[in-house]
Amino acid sequence: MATKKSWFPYAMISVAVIVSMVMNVYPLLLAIFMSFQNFVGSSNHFVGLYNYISVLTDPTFWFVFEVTIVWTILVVSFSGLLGLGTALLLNEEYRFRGIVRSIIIIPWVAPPVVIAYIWVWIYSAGFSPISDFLERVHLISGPIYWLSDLSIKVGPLSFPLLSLVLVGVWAGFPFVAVVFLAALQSIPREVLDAADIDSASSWQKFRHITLPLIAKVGQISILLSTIWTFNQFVYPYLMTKGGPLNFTDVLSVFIYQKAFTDFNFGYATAAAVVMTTFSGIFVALYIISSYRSLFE
Amino acid sequence: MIKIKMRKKIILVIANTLLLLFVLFPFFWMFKTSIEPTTEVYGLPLTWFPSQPTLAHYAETINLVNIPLHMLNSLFVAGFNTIIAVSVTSCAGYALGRFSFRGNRPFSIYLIVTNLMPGIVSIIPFYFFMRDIGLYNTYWALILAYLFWSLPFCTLMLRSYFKSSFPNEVHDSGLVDGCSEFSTFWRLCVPVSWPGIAAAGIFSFILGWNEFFWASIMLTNASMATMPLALADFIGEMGRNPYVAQFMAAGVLVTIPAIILFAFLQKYFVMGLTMGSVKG
Amino acid sequence: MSQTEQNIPQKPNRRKFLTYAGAAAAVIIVGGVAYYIGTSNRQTSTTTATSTLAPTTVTSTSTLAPTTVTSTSTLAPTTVTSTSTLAPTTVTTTTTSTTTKLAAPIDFWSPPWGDPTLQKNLINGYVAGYNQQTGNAATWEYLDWTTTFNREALIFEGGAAPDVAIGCFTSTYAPRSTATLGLMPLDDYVNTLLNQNDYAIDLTTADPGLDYYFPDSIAPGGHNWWAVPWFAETCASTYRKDIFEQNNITPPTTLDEQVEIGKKLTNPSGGVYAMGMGWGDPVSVCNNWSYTFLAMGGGDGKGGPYLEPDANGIYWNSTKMAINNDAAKASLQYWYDMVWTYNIVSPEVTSPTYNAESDFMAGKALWFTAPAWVGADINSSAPQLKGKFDAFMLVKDATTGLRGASIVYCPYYIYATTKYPDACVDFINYLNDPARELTIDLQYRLEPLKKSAITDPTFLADTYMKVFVDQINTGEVHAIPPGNPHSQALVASSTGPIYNMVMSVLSKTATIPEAIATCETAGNAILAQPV
Repeated sequence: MATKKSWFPYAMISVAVIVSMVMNVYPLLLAIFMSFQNFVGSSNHFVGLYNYISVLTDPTFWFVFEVTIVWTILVVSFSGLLGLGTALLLNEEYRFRGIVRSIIIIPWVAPPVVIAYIWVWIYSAGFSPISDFLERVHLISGPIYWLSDLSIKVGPLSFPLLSLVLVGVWAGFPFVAVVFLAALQSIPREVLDAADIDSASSWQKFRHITLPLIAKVGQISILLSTIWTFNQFVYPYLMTKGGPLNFTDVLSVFIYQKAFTDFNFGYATAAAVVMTTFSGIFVALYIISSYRSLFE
Repeated sequence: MIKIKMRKKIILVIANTLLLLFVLFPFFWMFKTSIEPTTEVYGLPLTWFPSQPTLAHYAETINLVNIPLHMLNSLFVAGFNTIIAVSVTSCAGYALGRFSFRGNRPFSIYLIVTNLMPGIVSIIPFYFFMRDIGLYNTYWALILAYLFWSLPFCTLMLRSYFKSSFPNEVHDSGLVDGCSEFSTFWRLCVPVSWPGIAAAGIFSFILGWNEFFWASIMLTNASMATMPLALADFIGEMGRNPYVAQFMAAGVLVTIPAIILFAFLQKYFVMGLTMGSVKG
Repeated sequence: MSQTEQNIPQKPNRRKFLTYAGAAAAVIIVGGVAYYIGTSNRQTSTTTATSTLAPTTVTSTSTLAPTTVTSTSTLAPTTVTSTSTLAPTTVTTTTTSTTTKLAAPIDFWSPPWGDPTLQKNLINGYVAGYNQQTGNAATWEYLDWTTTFNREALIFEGGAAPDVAIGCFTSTYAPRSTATLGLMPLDDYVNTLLNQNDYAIDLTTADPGLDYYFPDSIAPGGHNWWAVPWFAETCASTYRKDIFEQNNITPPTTLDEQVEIGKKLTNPSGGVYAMGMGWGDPVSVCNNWSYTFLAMGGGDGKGGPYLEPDANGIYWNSTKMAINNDAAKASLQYWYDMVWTYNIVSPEVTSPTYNAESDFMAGKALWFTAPAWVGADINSSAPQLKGKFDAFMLVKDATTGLRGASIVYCPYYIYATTKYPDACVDFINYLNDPARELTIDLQYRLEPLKKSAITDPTFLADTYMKVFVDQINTGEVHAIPPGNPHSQALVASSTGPIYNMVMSVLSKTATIPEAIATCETAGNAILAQPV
C-alpha cells in the first residue's frame, strides 16, 4: 500500500465525498429539520416532538413497519437462497451455461415500470396465466385472488404480501446470483480437487470449503441487498400502492403517501428519520460484528 | 459412475428448465400480449399463443409515443450517467483500495451507512437544491441523483477490484519511472482493470436506463423525457391502461436494448465481479 | 537526507491536522448550506391571497356563424369535424385580447382525462392554434396522475409551478395558497363567465348552494372561485344491451331491482359476475360506496357528503365525520351482500388492481359503474362489443327516492406565480371556445356543463352521453368529494379512512360497526389537523 503522497487519495475521493454529502447528509439534515415542524398553510411552525409522538403512537405506522420487516426478511432470504442455488448451478460445466447466465440477468435489467405492470396483469384474478394453467391441470377450480385475498393472514403476513415477495425475489435474485457466481468461480480448482482426492462428499465440500470462501462476498452483497430491499419503493408502489388495508404497505410507500397525498410533511419526515435510525442501528450492529471480515 | 453422471445431467436439465421458465415467463407474456390482436388481449379463455400474430401494435405504439426521441434521451442519460459514475467511483475505489490513509476505513463505512436514507425523503430536499442552483430540469440533476445509488455499490466493488487487479510492483515501478500518482492510475491501472470498470459502467447504465421516479420529478420538459416516463404516459385515470397491447410493445422495445447490452457484456460484468472478490 | 529526516516526523502531525481541519470544515460547510437552503425557500408569509384579475381585460370573443362551424384538427391522426348550429342569441363569448405583443411563454400542465394518447393529439393541436392566434408561446406538458400529485405537493413547498393547469382537489389546494404561492383566486373571471349564462346548471343560485355543486371551487377568505369549472363528471352504469335484451330484462332503476337482476344474471362458476364496481383505486372505491350511501339518505340526509356541516350548512369547516348512521351500515351491508351473499360482484373488488372495465370488455362483468369516457375505451380496445353496450342511470333507493351521483370535474387553475395572467385567461377561453369544447367532449366523452354543448344536436345524437347528462340534470346529484381542505387525504389516499372502511368490510377483516368506528376515528383525526 502506497503511503507517500498524502493528498492524492483525498483528492481522488473528494468528488465522491462531496456528492455523497449532497445526496445523503444534506437531505438527512433537512429531513430532521422538517420533522420538528408542522406545516400550516405554507408556513412552518416549530412543534418540537409532536410529529415524533404522533408517528410512534400511530398503530398504522407500526403495522407498516412490521410489514416492511417481513417483506425484507422474506425477499432477502429467498433471493439469497435462490441466488446461491443458481450460482451453484451455473458453476457447473455444461454446454448452455453461458446462455443461461445471460438470460437470468434479464429481470434485473428490465425497467420496473414495465415489470410492475406485467406482474399486475399476471396477478389479476380473471386474466392470470398462472391461475389459467393451474385450472387446466385441475389443481384449482376457481380464480385465485393474488392481490386481494385476505382470508389467511398472520399479523403482517398476508397472501398479497407473498405475491409481492415473489416479484421482489424474481427481480432481485439475479444480482445475488451473479455476485455469488463470481465468488464461486474464484475458488481455486486445486482446493476442490484436493477435497475430491480425500473423497469428500458434495455436501462436505460445500460446507467446509465453498461456503467459507464465499462468505465475505456473500456478507457484503446480503447487506446491500437488505438495505435496498428495506428501502424498496418502486415495485410495491407501482403494483399495489400500499395494497388493501396496508397489507402491502412498505415504509417508503407509506411515507410517500403521507407526504404527497396527505400533505403531512412533518409526519412523513419524522417517520423517515425513525426508519433511517432503525436501519442505521441494524447496519451498525452488523458492521461491528463483522468488522474484521469486511475490512481486513 | 455413469449413473451418477446421468443423474447429474437430469438434475441439471430440470433445474435449468425451471429456472429459465421462472425468469422468462413474464417476458414471454409481455411479448405475447404485444403481438396478439386486441380482441384476444381481453379475450377469455386466455390464449397462450396468439392465433393471428400481428406487428400492428408496434407501429401503433410508435405513433402514440415518440419512441425514437425517448430512446435517444434514455441513451443519453444512461451514457452520461455511466461516464460520470464510473469516473467518480473508480477514482474513489482506487484511493480506498490501494492507499491506507486516515479516511479510508471511515469513508468505507460511511458509504455503506449513507445508503440507508430512503430515496423518497431525499427527493424533496434534493429537488429544491437543484432548483436553487439552477440545475433543475436538466440531465445533470438526474446524473447527480443516480450517483446516490451507484456510489456505494460501485465504489465498494471497485475498491476490492483495484486491490487485486493492479500489482503493487507495477504501481511502484510506475512511480519510480517518474509518473505522478494520477498518471499511474490513468495509464497503468485503468487499461488493466477495464473488466471491473466495465462492470461498474454496466451497473450505472442500467440504472440510468430504467429509473422512473426521480426522472419524473426532475424533468418537466416533455421533449426531454426518458423512456420510463414515456411508458408511464400510457397509464391514465384510476391506473387503468387503455392501450395494453401497445404498452407491452413499448415495453419490449425498451427492454431489448438493455438485454442486448447485457448479453454482450455480461461476461465482463461477471469478470469484473470475479476479480474483485478474490480478496473480498 | 536530513531534510527528509526532519520532514518525516512532522508530516504525520501535519497530515493529522489537515484531516481534522478538513473534516471540520466539511461539516461546517454542509451544515451551513443545509441551514441556508433549508430556511431560505420556505414561504413564511401567512397573508391570504388578495390578487384578482382586473375584470376589464377578461373577455374572450369568438363570434360563431349561426349556421355551421367546421373545425378540423389536422394534427390528430383522424380529422375531426364537428358541426354545431348555435342559436345566434344565446352564444357569444367575446375575446378581446389586450395583452402585450410580446410572446407570453405559458406553461400548461394537465393530467390524463379520458384516453391519454387521444388527449395528446387533440391538445397539441389546440395549443398550436392558440399560439398562432395570439402570438404567445404556450407549451403543454402532460403528466400522469402520480407525477401530478407529486408536483402539486412540491408547488406548495415552493417548487416549480406552471401558469395554467388542470387539476383536482381544489378544496385541498385553495386554503394552502397565498398571494405568492399556489392558486390564484378567480372570482371576477368566473363571475364574468357565469354572467354569460351558458351553464346548464345555475351555479350561482342553485339550491342548496354554491359549495354544494362545486365544492372544489370554494374556499373561505372572501373568495368564491379558485378554479374555472369546465366539465362535469358523473358515473352511470355501462351495461351489455345485447345480454339484457336476450334475457328480456330492462335496466334496473332501484337498488333492489339491481340486486334482483344481478341474481338472475350472475354466473360465478362460469366466471361471470353480473356487476363490476369501478376500479381498485381509492377514489373510485370511495365514489362507488358513496353513491349507495347517499342514495340511502346518508350524509346530511339531503344527499350531502359524509361530513357534518357546520351551523351554516357548509362542509368547509367540518370537524366531524357523519358516517355513524343507518345509511352507512345499510350501504356497507348492501355491498357486502353483493360480493359475498349473492355473488353479484367479484371478490377481486378488494384488490388495488381491480379493474371492472377490463372485466366488462372480456365479458366477465355485465354492467359496471364508470364515467362516460369508458365508452371511448370500449370502442377502441374491445371492438367486438361495438354497438352492444349502452348506459343506464345510477339506481335510486326506493324508500328515499334519492339517487347518489357525483359531479367531479377537473377545473382549470391559474397559479399565483404566473407572470402572464391575461394570457392564461385567453388560453382558457380558447380551449373553452364552444366548438373546441364540443370536440373535446365528444372525443373523450366528457359531460359538458355548457348549455350550448349539451343542446347541440351532435351531442344529443349520442344516446350514451345523454344518460350521463340526464343524470346530472335530474337534480338529485350530490357532491363528492367533499368541499373540505382535507378532501385529498380523506378520499385519494390508500391509507384513507373511507377506503379502508369499505375494504375492511368487503375483505371480511372487520365487522361493519367496527369498520365504521375506525373510519370515524381516523377521519376525525384528519379533519382535526390544521390547514
